[in-house]
This record gives sequence, structure tokens and C-alpha cells, in this order.
Amino acid sequence: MTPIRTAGAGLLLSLALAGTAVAQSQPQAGYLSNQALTDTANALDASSPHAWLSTIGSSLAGQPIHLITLGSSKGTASDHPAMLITAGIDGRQLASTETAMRIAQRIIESNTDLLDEMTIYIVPRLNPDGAARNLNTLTMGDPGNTRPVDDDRDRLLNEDAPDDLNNDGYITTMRRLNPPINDKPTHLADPDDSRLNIEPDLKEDQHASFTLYPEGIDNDGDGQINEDGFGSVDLDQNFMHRWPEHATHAGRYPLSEPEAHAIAQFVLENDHIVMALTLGRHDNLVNPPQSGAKDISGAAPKEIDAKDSDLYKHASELFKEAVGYKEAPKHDTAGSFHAWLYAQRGIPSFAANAWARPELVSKDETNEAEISTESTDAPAEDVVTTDSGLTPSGVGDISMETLEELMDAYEAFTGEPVDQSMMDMITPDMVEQYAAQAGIEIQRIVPAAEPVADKPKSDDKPKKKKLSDDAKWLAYFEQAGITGFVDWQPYDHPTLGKVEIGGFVPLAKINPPSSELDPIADKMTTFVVDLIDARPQLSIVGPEITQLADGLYEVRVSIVNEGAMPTTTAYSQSKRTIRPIVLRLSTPVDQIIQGQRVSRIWGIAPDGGRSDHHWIFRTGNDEDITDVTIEVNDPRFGNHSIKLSQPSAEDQS
Amino acid sequence: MKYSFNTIQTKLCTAGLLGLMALTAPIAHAQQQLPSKVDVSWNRYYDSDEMTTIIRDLVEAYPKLLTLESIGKSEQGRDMWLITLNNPETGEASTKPAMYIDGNVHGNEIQASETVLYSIWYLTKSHGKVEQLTELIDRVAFYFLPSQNPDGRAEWFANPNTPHSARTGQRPSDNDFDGLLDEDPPEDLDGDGHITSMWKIDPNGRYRRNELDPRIIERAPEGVQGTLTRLGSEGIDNDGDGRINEDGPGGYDMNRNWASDWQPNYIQFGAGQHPFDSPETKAVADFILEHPNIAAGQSYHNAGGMILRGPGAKYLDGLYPRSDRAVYDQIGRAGEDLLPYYDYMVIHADLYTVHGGLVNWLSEGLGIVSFTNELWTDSRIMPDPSREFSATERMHWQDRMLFGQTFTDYTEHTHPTHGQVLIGGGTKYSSRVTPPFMLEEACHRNFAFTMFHAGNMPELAFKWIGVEQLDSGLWEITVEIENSKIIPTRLALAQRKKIGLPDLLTLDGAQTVLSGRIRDRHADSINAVTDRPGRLLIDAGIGGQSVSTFRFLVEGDEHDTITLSYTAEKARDIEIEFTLKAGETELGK
Repeated sequence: MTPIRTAGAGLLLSLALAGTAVAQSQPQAGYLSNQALTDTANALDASSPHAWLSTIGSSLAGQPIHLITLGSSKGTASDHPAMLITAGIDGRQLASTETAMRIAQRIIESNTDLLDEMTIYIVPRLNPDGAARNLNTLTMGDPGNTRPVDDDRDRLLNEDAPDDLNNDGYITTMRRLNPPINDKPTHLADPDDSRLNIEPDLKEDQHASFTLYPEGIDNDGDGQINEDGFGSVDLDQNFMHRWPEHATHAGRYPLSEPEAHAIAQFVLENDHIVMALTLGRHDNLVNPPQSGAKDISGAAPKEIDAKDSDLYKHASELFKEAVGYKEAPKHDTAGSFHAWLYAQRGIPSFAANAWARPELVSKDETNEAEISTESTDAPAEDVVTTDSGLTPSGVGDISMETLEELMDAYEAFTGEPVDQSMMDMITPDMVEQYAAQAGIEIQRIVPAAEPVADKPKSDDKPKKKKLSDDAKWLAYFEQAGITGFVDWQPYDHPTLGKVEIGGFVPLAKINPPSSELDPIADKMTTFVVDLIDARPQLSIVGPEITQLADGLYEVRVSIVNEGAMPTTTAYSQSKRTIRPIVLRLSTPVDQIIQGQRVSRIWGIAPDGGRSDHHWIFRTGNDEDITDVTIEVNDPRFGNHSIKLSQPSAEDQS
Repeated sequence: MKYSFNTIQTKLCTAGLLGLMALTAPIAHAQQQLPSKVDVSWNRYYDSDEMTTIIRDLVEAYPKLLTLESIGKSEQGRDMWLITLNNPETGEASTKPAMYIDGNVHGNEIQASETVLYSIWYLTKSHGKVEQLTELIDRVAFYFLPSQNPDGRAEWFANPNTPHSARTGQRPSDNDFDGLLDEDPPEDLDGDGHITSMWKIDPNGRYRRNELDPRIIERAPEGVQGTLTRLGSEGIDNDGDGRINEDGPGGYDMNRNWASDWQPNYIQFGAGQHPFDSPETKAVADFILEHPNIAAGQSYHNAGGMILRGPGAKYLDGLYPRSDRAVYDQIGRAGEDLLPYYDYMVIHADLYTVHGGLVNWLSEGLGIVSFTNELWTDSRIMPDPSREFSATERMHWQDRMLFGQTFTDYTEHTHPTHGQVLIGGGTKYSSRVTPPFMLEEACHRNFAFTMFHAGNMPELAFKWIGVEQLDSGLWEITVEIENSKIIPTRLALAQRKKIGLPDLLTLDGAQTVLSGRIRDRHADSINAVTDRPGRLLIDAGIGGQSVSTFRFLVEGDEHDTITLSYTAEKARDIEIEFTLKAGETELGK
């Protein structure tokens, strides 16, 4: 693995000393412990003038949350637009951290010229405590941090953890073979491969014969097994967009967890982040996000707005070209980090699984077709679901109809039409106030009914459709020589009686053998470089200056985006909550005849998208045009000052 | 709450002690002339510093009942004072159901703080003197936060403002998205100490001053040339962008910063970047989360004469189960009786949409029965509140009652960008704020409502125990537990959304075979729990003003000592000890 190679023998030694080396048979073998991650990150910092290690905060258990900054030089990192790569939000997603570290290594080895254009921030492991648990102890595969949660709400904490009954080093699954009446059988052994569990298909005249439990005993005697083990908050449910309040592992409030708070704070303090890639359990690159459904408020998209579909399709093409993954599971993104970046920070926010099971060499075409059904979860796209017949205005859930009524009322009241700059600033709250004052009934865009949230798919209760998938995993593990499955062995359970213990090894479907990490990182790095190549690139066209009379000038300036990505998402441009580009003409406002002294650009579309500006103004008595400047303040791309000059005779013609 | 009495004897003893106190303490039957150790005038307002002095004086005068702590610092470094009112002789505050009462999250809504202070003042002077309040104080605890926004309050008092400004916290912010913070605040150009309104003197204007009362500016009638054009509030264009007062202090709303149904700024103006991103709201949230014994909540605001409950958004209308709505209705309607001209209302349906309000978080996030009272309503000033009245009538009333103190006459000034302007109009005391001479009544009526609310936090008692011998060593124990108050130990919403911890009924002293809740003491059928049956989890809790019945089948010997204990987050724990013997026992309160 590349980072360790650069770190040299000292690092290998520290790995051994840390005592975290995992038995070779474990799927986690060869993965970085927290200490090894720290050492590797330090080595990266020491090895390159383009990499710096810092922290954005600490985990609940006090582990540092590392930030690796890749930039042209240390002092100028925040002067460039930036890409944020985040990994290890889910404690099980160990491969994501490995991939992020290797991307850093590859960029500083062979792509440092990119860093003149763009800074790259890498948070390789947002959840070090969760990673430690999944690396170091018997795990059922828990995604969260170490926040104590009374999972079963019985006023006792963490009193019924899993138990490795057969001492094989894994927490797997138990088949209860002759379940009593009050434990209705749910599964049977797959007739095609008795190692797999399937739900009965009545058409096939199948009958369930056993029930499934996670491996363990009922430590607290409440009739349930392993129902309150570690208890934790899943950081990827702890962010603001569609936060699943009251879900057991969503946290007590958004950003209640120090890890989530730390990275949110980092994003809020770094307005120059213009794109993000999150590696982990979510994906919106193999299966581009849906753009029809709204969240519960009806005012925000559940995943993305239709106006951003092309952006995501473009990224998806780049991803499939570079990385080649064909399938990725779809999970509900409620409360996830990457969904927040899109919905509330206006950042093109991409998410990918670090690893996808390599396709087996299969000549069976029908098999291919079966795989593709995996992604049909994604509903039809580009349907704006408002069922009220009203036109969205972009101001909260207020309809355009209401805004127009309000504008009419304003004009009737004041005798003046509404100034566009007022409309630029209007918020739903203001509409509420004004409408109340004017006695106008607000007509709102009626939210579409919230679609039923995707249920997380449990490995223990595979659906019929998943059957072939499990069989493929088995075949893959066998071919690759991976201990991803434990064969069923009989066991006498203290309360369940005769059981068999076995099944898939936790994490084996998430993290590949460490030998596959380098090739994965090569492909992912290509994707990252492709994204950076597609970055928004702004240039200022003009100024074009015309002298209309003595001391009277007309000036035109255009800001153009030549990149393949927008400066911010189209959605955030319509919502106007992300800091805009501000243009400020130095001429006093009473000398400006046309145009605003201060204008705001809420975003510029890609591929030649432009924002045109036009002023006519007088210069003061003692001033001439060379005293006039246009300041461009851009939180993402930096500040520029445009000096004006007297137009030459040819320009005047 | 973990605290419990050791035996029923202890409990009776305590009750006896309280009874004794009631007999020996001088109970005043008239509530007039009930002195406090701290003299406070309730016909005037207090700024942040004066308020702190009153708090310190009260805590010093009543050290047994009051505990003062600063739960955090505001944006500008002011202490967030929280006063716990509890009688330690009847147990720690954390062992009792508690009511959280705050005010003034909007800096300009000042009388909210006086109402909270009045409540502390009245309770402390009444303890040991007024029987009903003494009983209440001995049973429950109170957490008072007089001002949630001490910076906004300080700003409103210290500087020229309107009745509506200084609503926000005082963190500098970029309201007009020009990259600059708080760079264009209003200015008091006429030097009257208030931000009033500005009118441009304009020969083509559409407005004019009323001929009979020049303080009234009205639209010029059809065909008549006006002389004035509306400019907005008093101030100049500090940043030269052509707009006036578009980026004053702050510019966010801390009552949109709470975790339940929080929505970003583009949906909910003022929401902040994330829930609890203000030091003030974070401090309050931390305090409330650390006190699961809070069973009732009140957050005072102004204005409108409203007793408000959630939800704040239409799409959450189905969130409040019927039985919870009944609890809110019972308390809210009692409030309408205590507060003339106030209406009990649902925020989104009767007022406007609010995402991320405090009262919503308390109710919907934490399962605490909570209201927001909007103090003061203009209806109070009119002889016939059922009639709509005009701004002119209102001004005339204020003139006669307050002798013109809430109006600054229009004067002519030279404005840097608009030339000649008229400046004047209502001062910051001209609306929203209760006229001082009516303040004490407003404080008292709202105080009385919150005491009714607090008095209805759950109170549990074992009501009846029946023991039957089924077989030589097998016994059936049936127990009735009564909640005599309106608020249940767990709202139906809390059960539905898995908020907080379920109640727990524990039986010790014998081996429990099975247990469960039954319809009533005569029921034969039980939906039995056989796993860990001596530890019965009760997620539905004990309903308001009702009796719940539970049954245990135990193996034991006659004369074994049995202990039953009931624990709830939002009620005081109860425990009872008895010997295993066939028979029935009615238990008095």
C-alpha cells in the first residue's frame, strides 16, 4: 500500500507496536488502525511540500479527526477553489479511508500541477471511534460513533451485546432450527445452495423452516438477542437535510455529535469549497440521484433539483468511465453529510462506494439483466411534483401567484412598482408578514406526499431479488479466496435450543482484501482528476467602456464560467442563500444612472455560462474614469479589482 | 427520576410533616398585602443589568428556595441566568416534575422577562403563606430563564429602536449578502431616542398630513396632490449601495433555531446555519436536555394575546395524537379564562408557519406539554374589543392614557440622500409592549396561567392493591396507580416517536412469573410479559386524571415483603412496601 511504503520501516514498526494488527483471516487485515492512520498522514505531510496535516476536531472518545490539505503552497490553500474528499463517516467503511489516503498519495506523487488551480481537502476518517470498533473488536458491523444509546429503551445501557458463541472470531448469524409456536419461521435454506437463507416463495410451494438471529445470547433476559450492544449515533444521519428526528441512531439534534459538528463547521468556514466527493456507504454516481421528489416541507428536493440533473449525469459518466462500477446499493440519504452539502450549501456533492464487488466472469447474459434490476429503485426523474397547479417562485414554498398578488398590492399601496432588488432579497418570512399586512391569502406550493423512506436492507432477511446477489457474493468470496462466509455449524443455544451458526462475515461485503486497495485508488484518483478538470473556471470579460459624453460613461463587464461545472448548484442559485459573488462599483450611488452600485451573482452556469453587467455613470467633478474601479469579491474564487481606463478613439467608433 | 422513598411509612411521614407545616405556618387567607423580601415595582421595565440585580436580590433573599446559575454566555458575553426554584426539604429538583419558563428570546419582546421575574417574586413570597402555592412549590420544581436573549434586550433598551427591532441576537451578520457585516444600521436622525419613520417631502407624493391632526399621515384623496413619499425607517445609506438600513445588527431569529422541523434560511428566514448555532440557544438546549424531569414548558413572547401550541407547519398537523390534543386543549382553554382577550391557538393554523421554534422542539422533540404566550394585545385598550379599530383611534387612546409619551412629533430634517424629510411617529414603546400601568396585571394573569399549567404536571399515587392466593406458592398481585393531574407521565407522541424513556414498574421481594397492564382490577385477561416480568416497561405511561391497573403473578411465601416502585421521567417516583397476604388495601393519597 502506497502510503505505508513512503513512510518506511518506522511506520510498519509502529503498526506492530500499536498492537492493532488484525488477524490475517479477518476482512480488515492490512487496514489502517487509527494510530497507523496518524502515522501515515504525518509521513505524507513530511514527504511533500504540497501536503499538510491538521485536525478539524476530536471524536467523542478523543481521537483526532485528521484533515490533509493538498495545495500549491501552505499559505495559499484558501485562495483557490477547493474540493473536499470525506471518508470514514460510517465506521464500517474502512476501504473509504484507505482510498482517500491513497488518492492523497497519488495526487502529490504525480498531479501536483492541479494544485495550482484547486486545493484538495481530505478528511480520511471522520469517525475514528467507529473505525476502531470495527477494526479491533468483534463487530456486528455498527456504523456509528461511541455515543451511548439505549437502543431498546429499557433504561439499561449497552447491556446486551453480541457474543461470539462459537469462538470463530466473527459475529455471524444463527438459524433457530425448530422454532416454537411463538417464533414463526421466516426463512428456509435456498434449494439451490443450502448455505443461503431465503424467504419462502409460496408459488414455488416453499415453506419457512427456521428463524434468524444475530449470534449471541439474551444477556439481559428480555427475550431479545443483541438488541442493545454498543449503541451509537450514526454520523451520516446527524446532518440537517431531512434529519430523521427520533430515529434511534440519528442523534438528539442535528450535529449533536462532535465529529459531525467538526466537519460541518469546517465546511461553513471554508466557503471556497466548490465540489465534494464523499466515499462511503452512499452512492449517487453509479445511480444518479432522483430529482422529482420533495422533502417533507415541500420546499426542498429530497435528493436533487431537476435543474441539477445534467450536472449529476455528467459526473456519473466521468465516474463510470474512470472507475467502472456498475452497481451500488441505494440507501436513504436522510440526515447524511453529502445530502446536506447539496441541499443547504449549494455544493455539487458526489458520493461513491469505495468498492464494488468485481463482476465475475460470467457468460450468462440473463445474469447481467438481473443485476441491473438493483438500480430500479430510482424513480422516474425530472418530475416536479406540485399538485396544486401553482407556479413555484423560488421563495420558500410561496407560489409565484402569491408573489404577483403581493407586488400588485405593493404598487397599489405605494404607487411604485416593486424594485427587482427588493424581490432579490425577499424571504418566505417577509412574504408572511407582508401578506398578513395586505390581507392576502398565501397560496403555497403543495408538497408532494413524502415517499416511503427506503428501508435499510438487512443481510439477515434477504429479499428474493437479493438471492442471486448473495449467491454471487459466495461465488466471489470463493474465487477470491476471501473468508467472507462461515459455514453453518450446529450449536446448543441456552435459550433458543438447537441452532446453526454461520453466514456472511460482517464487513466482508463492504471492504475488499487489502490487496485490491491500490488498484481501486488508481481508478478513483483518475475520477478525482477528471472532476478537477471539469471544475468551474471563471474569467472576467471586459471591461468594455464607452464615453457617452464628457464625464459620462457606459461600462459592460461579463463574468464567464468556461468550466464544465457550475460555480454553485443551480438549485442554490435559485434559493439565494449561499454567499454570492459581489460586484461593487466605486462610483457613488448618486452618480450612477443605470445599474446597481452593488450587484450580486448567485451562480454561473457551466460551459460558457455568463453573468453580464452594465452601468452608465458620471464621474465626479475632480475625477476621471481611471479613478473608477469595479471590485469583484468572490468567496469561492477570490477577489479581483477591475481598473477602468479612458477608451481609445477606435473603441468609440 | 431515580429518587424514591424507602417505604410507604416514610412517604406517609413526609405527608404528615407537610400537613403539620400547613397547620403551624401562618397561612394568609387573603393574598393582598403579602410582602416580599425584595421590593420590585411591576409597573416599569428593567434592562439587562437591572434585571440581573433583581435576580441577585431575590436569590439572596430566598436562598433556600432559589438557586442561581449561569448556563452560558451570550454572543456578547452576558450571562444566561437560570434560576431554579425548589424546596430542598421535599427533595432535589431533579426528583420532581419541573416546569421550564423563559422569555425574551426576541430582544424587543421585553415584558416577557418581567413576567418571568414576577413569577419568581410571587412564588417566593407566597411559600409558607399561600396554601395552594406552598403545596405546588413543595411538589414540583421550576426552572426560570428570564431572558433568552440578554444582548437583544440590552440593545433594545440602550439604543434607539423600533417596537420591532432588536428581535435578533447580536452576532454580526450579512443580511444583504454584500460580504459586509451589520454595515447599514438605522440611525436616530432626530435624536428622540427611537427609530421612527421617514417621509420625503415631495411635491409629487401620494401622501399628506391630516389637516386636523398633523401626526397622522394619510393617503391623499383621489384628485388631490399629496406632499409626502414613504421612505421607511429612520436612517441613512451608510454603505452607499443606494439602500437604507438594509443590514442592521444581527439579522437572524433565535426562535427558528431549534432542532424539531428546523429548516434552512431559504425556507425559514432567520434559522441560522444549523440548530443551536447561537450560543444562547445552545446553552438552553443543553440545559433542557440535561433535565428530562421537565414536564411543562412556557416561552413568553409579545404580542397578540395568544396562547400558542404547535405544530408550526401544516404538514405536521397529524403529529399531535388526539389524546395529547385533549391535554393541550384542557390547559389552553383554562388559559383563555384566566387571560381575557387571549385566544388559544395552533401556530401554523391560526398564526403563521414557524419552522424550528422552541415550543415546537419542547413539544414535538421532547414530549413536553408547552405553550408560547404572546403577551399584550391591542384589544386590551379598547372599550369594545370585539370591534376592529383604526390606527387613529389607537393613537388617540394612547394620547389620552399615556399623555403622548409614545409618539414623537414629525420634524423636518435634511437627509444626505433624500434632501428634506419628515421624521417622527410611534416610539419603540408605541406598540407590542404592555403600557407600564397595565404591566402588573398582565404579569399576574400569565403567572396564574403557568401555575395552573405547572399544577397539572403528573402526580402519581398507589391507589389500591389487591392480593389473591392462586395456589400454595402462587400469588396474584393487582395494583392501581393514579395520576391525579391533567398531564400524562408520557404523551402519546412520546410513545409513538420513542421520545425519552418508558416508565418502569418494578416488583421486588418475590419471583415474578408474568406481569402486564390490565383494563381494570376486575379484568381476567392479561396481555402477559414473561421476559423480565419483574421489570415492567410502560411506554404508554399513566394517562392524565386516570387510573392504570397492573397485575403480577409471583411465586412467594405468605408474609414475604414485596416492594413495588414506579419510575417516570416526568413524575415523582413512588414506592410502596407490603407483606404478601390475601386481601385488598385502599390507599389514600
